[in-house]
Amino acid sequence: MRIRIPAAFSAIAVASMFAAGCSDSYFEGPRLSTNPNQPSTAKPENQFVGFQAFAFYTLTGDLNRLISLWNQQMAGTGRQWAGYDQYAVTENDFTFGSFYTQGGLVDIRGVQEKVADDKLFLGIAQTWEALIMDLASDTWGDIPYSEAVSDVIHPKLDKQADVHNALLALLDQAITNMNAGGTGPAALDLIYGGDQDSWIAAAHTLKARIYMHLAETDASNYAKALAETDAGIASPDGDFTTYQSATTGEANHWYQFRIQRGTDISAGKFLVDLMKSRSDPRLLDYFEPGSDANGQVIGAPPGQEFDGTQAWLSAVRGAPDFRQPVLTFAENQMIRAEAQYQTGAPGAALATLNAYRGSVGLGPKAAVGAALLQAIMEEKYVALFQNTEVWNDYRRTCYPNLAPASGSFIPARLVYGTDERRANPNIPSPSQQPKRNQLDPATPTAIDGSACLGTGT
Amino acid sequence: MRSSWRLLGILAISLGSGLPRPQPLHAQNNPITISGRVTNDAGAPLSLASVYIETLGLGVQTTDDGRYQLTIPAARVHGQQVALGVRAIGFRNTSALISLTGTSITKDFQLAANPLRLGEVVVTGSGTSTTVEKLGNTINSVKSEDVQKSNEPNIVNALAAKAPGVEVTSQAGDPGAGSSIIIRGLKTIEGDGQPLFVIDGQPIDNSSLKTGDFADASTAISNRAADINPSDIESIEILKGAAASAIYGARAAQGVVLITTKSGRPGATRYTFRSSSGWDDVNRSLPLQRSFGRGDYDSAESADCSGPGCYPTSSSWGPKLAGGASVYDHWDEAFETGHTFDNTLSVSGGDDRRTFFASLGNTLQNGTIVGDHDKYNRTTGRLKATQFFGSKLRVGGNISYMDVRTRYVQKGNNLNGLLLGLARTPPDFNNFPYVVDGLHRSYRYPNPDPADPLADRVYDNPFWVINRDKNTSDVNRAIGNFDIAWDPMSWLNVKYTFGADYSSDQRLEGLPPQSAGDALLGQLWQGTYDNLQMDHNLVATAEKKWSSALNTTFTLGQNLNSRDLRQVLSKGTNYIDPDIFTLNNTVNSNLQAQNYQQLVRVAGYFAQAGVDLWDQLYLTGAVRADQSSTFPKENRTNYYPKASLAWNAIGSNARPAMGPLSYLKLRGAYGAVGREPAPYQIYDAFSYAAVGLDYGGGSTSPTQNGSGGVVSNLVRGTPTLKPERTGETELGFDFGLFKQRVDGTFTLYNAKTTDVIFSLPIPVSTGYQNVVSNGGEISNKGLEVSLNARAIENPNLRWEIGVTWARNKNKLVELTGADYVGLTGGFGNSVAVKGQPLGSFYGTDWVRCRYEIGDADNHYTNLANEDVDVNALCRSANAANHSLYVDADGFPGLDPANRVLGDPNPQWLSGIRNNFTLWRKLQISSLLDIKKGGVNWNGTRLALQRFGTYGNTAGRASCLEQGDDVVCTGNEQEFGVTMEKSPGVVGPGKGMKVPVGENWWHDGLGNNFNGPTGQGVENSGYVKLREISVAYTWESRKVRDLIGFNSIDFRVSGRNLGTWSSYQGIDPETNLEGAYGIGRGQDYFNNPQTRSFILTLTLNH
Repeated sequence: MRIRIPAAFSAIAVASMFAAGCSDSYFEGPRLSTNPNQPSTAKPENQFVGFQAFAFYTLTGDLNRLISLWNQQMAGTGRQWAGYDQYAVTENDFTFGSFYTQGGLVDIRGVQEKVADDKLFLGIAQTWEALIMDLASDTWGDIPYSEAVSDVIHPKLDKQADVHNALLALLDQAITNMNAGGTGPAALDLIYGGDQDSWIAAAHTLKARIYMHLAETDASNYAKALAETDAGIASPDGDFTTYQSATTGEANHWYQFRIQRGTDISAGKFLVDLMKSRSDPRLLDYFEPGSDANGQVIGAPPGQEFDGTQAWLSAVRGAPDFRQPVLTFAENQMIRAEAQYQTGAPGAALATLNAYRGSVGLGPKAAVGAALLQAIMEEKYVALFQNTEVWNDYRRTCYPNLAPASGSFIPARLVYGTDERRANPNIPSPSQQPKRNQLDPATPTAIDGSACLGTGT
Repeated sequence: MRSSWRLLGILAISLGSGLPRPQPLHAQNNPITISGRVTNDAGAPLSLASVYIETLGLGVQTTDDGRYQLTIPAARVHGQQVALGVRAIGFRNTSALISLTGTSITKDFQLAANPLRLGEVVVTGSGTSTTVEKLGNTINSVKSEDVQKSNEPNIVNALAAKAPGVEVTSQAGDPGAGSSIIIRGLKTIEGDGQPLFVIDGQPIDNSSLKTGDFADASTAISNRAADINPSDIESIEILKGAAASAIYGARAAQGVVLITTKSGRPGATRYTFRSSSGWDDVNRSLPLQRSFGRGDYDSAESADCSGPGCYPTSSSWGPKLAGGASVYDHWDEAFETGHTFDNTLSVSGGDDRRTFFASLGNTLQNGTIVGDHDKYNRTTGRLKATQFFGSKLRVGGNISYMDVRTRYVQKGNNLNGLLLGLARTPPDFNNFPYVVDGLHRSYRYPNPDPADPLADRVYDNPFWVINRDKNTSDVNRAIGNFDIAWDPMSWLNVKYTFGADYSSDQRLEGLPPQSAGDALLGQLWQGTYDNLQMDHNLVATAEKKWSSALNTTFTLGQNLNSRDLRQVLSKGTNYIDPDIFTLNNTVNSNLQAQNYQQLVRVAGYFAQAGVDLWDQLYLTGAVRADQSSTFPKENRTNYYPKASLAWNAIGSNARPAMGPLSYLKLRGAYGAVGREPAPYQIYDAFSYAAVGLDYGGGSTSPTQNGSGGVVSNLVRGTPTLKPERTGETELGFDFGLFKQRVDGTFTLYNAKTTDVIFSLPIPVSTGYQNVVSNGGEISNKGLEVSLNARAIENPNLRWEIGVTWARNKNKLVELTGADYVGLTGGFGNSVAVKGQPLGSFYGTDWVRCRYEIGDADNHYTNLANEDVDVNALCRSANAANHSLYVDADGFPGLDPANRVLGDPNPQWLSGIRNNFTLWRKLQISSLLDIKKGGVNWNGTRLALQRFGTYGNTAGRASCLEQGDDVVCTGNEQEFGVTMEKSPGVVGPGKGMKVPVGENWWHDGLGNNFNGPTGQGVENSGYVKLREISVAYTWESRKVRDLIGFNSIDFRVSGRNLGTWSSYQGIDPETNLEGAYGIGRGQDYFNNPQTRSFILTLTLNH
């Protein structure tokens, strides 16, 4: 008895465990040979929503904040942002992963593949690609594009002009596709709810923007940009704005920044003073006075720490559900005015400018020559508050002629992020990278003929 | 007290009562009582020695006064002669022949020391064991009394400086904080670097899981092995090399810690009550300046803040504080003396058929942060029992239950952490009151505006952090196993163990409304972690002695292991009621829930053969085949062989001694072990997860506006993944001199880890950031020496001294496809860089001569806007490597590229142990822990330099704002010479002296916000007086008669009483993220370490 029980037990144990341990079923099954935490495939609808959410960050997140600091619309008044305000940026900051990975090019290409039969959806996805990659190319100049998100292990750098031209061609395809129609993403499109006409107009405005980037080196692009604005966003109702809500994970990134990092960024003195000098009625649409400021909107000059007086965004602009403008009627019209001016039609340019001024409650201007161009650029600088495009305009025209916060050079591009450089031998080391992008002229003089203060060597 | 003892006794006896008892036969003779005392050769009593008569199957254990009493039932007495034997750990077995006549026999024993433990059985894992002299590889043993002497509630800490080549780093002094243990260097990039922990044959969970978003913020993180009550431990064997741990195959790459808990012994039931009371203090505080007040540029203007809602400057760059001004010691205000109470009651005993051990323990710790908000309360119970059925079968069970409740105070890189706000507070700001009319008041927001109750506080007031936050972890855990030992034949032994380790951890991390950062509306993390591990181990060993010269053993075994982890973690924000820390109390639209689960199964089969030749040459060979569910099917089975040879050249029967050399064993071993990859890494996947974005980008959820969203994972799976594999060769010898008065060991090892798994960074332009890859090679080469001497052996004075010394050279030899990768727990700057030791700091630095890199990679655009070829300049100036480039303004320049900044791994580690025994009753012992070299990143100092509160900023230039310029005078420093000391100086500013004050530390690069990471790297070597204790044992018949105990033991001890280090911050033993990852040496507003003074009373009955 004493022996039999353990003997029997052992026999059963040995038999059962060998049976268990040797068979594949011990190693396979739910939670063993499948990932219980994440799906292995994605439907295009879900991938499109995810892509848009992450694209909002790419367009209106860290990089957007940095650009608004460097263009002195805002100012860094604490910690890391005080450093960025002084151009203390290394290759560890503002890496460019978000343009390509996780919600970047990889996912919008995934959507394009899966919706190839729905031409409207495909065209919208192509327009998105052009919008995102244009910003990447504006920021870093030459970027991996033709070989990006492919089987190539080390994608090569394409010249900035080549990327821009490829994006223009992509937008032509997108417009053709959208015109062909289809079911489209409908309500999953967080920008226009799948509206065909709005998307086609946005694609034209985007084309106009890209032509302007090429215009400084090849003036024939002004005419092309002008032509695109004809079909571009026709009213503020057609503005391309991000989707945001009060829900965590959907909130406006500027709002989230304020919540997390408090007063590390405040209103920029240059923009505030400019708007005051213009008696611009939008001042209080943009900003709310600081707690110590006695109702005054005060902007911080570069290098100043937060002291309670400097303004933050207004309740509207700083709200969690404020939809950040990305491509707007205002931009379309100011491109139009500038292109009209540059193609020898200053009268039309002035009319476009004044029509726009009227729509925001400002009186008409009567400038001619360089002053007219300066007025157009000033209007665009104010209207495109917190829009990355102001950096492109600065590099093209040296407007506004800002005094650098530190040194004599306002950065004209970012160094490639470590996330790319460390793994891609095609990326030169930081000290070997250019200081300016291919399409940026040196701009030794500003529009009014004075020296450009931020292009010192 | 007595009644509770009785209760435990009943509990223990009731276990035995259901089992059959041998029936006494008719008495023909008188029973005989054998009693006596067992002492060492100096006359000191030996407790826990086994006194036994093998032929009768009888045995007892000595009490703490060394006494034993063994009664032989009358039925078994017939005047025969028997051998009475004695066994004690660390002493040579002894026996005496006695004749069983009369009614009582007295026999005392004096045991000779056996420091090399020859003849002792040592557990070698997975149900196998051998005797010490047969070991061909290193196994270090730590005894129960050494664990207890350390007075550490966490058993991992108790191993500090106990064995060569074992590096223990405690995360912080918080009650419940975790500890990391690294054996013979890091051998992984992706894993946590921690060894496998096994208790009584049952592998247990020793994970370190964070609660909230970031391991570098929130609270200290416990390691789960800390749940074990150290008082229950009988011994710990540390399996260090691959040869020793190969029997654990794919889980043993970082070594194995085998813990054996105490067992009952036949004999009278013994009661032990151990009670200790400790006083804990912060051992090193942050140096904070108290001479300059809030303000900027020597002016208090920016500190003016009278009206509600204002934000004065964050800086302490104001005027020198006047003599009478109020100055606050922010550090002292926040810390107090903590207390630790530790009580354990154990009952053990048994007879020749059954044994039991039962214990009940409680550790109650109230930490050093003021108030009762950092607490640790661990209650443990254990019952271990065995029953013999006949002479061939033994069945045992071992169940322990642990209830661990911890309350933490937040720390680290965290606006809601204790020290971040505390240490930045200007010395003239009073942090009290921290609440005004219900509103949180912080130094950045000193006059809360009632009209705007949710205004940003920037940093939390430290007392708000302490008193208002709630961070808890409640763990309920049971570890149990059932085991059978069966000897069906005289030559065959079968052992079976089935066990489980289940824990449930309820976590809460709550910040009330008005807390800084994104907790403005209140933020709550609530998590449940369930962890179940089951293990089945069957092993059969056959042993045959063929002749006096040849003995063989053969072992076959099987192991099945399953680990199941389920986590649910939810985050809510926006409290409805400000004081209720539950998810229901948050606004539902903000509720975020995430869960994670994983299941891993392993099946292992192993075979081991041993050949003993002429009782002096021992050969062992083994192989383990492991299959794991985490591998792809085609790579599922992996083999881990080992072989070892031990030759007892001197000290065996054949050759007893050679002059003073009384023992010499030469040994060599080779083994292979592995590390399985984390599960699910072989698949590509899409993510639902919201991601937090850099520098305050907030979080973005792929799901928007009620439409479900997914995005691609950043990391691609690799369907052909293989395990990491470590092959290690070790050679060494053990020796004894002068009849073992002096003994020592010497070991050389060389371990090569290949197929190292890591997330290979790929260009992000491919659409992915990483791909899981087997492409690294890590080398660990080292030398371990230990030397012990019983220097004085008089009956009234004994002195033992032991020294351990170990050096490990770690190098990441290969990282295929990448130059470096980040490490978990690395705070972004402790990384794996090819060609450097693992964990090396990597980041931006000053412009320096760097001959180790190509000239093209070391260019700098200086202030004159010249492109400087720095290396060429250095060579022409004949400058030493790493000389500092000082620009024309007298300040160094920022090098924007990432550089290797320092190695956090120690150059060597040493432990020095001294033991004095006076008049047999008074014991004085000490343990010094020495760490030579290694660096920490002192980010705390760098951050505080910007704010002007760190001690070093008390010597400062006076900086005045004149128009748009800042003009500084005084505190003239020469960079590279008196500041940022370096091997040399080059550049146009060489020899220049420049004023250093707010211009540099706040406005310039002299901080971690604008400046390079490299300036924070500091030597973190130390000498620590880990333990010192004085113990007195009081035992006599008088004691017994007077208070009913056999002996009373008093002990006065100190832990970490002295720490000597050149490190400029808190204790250099600190690690922001604990054992959560393998990044190390991070100092960024981590909570401080402690030193303790402890009184212990032990009562034995």
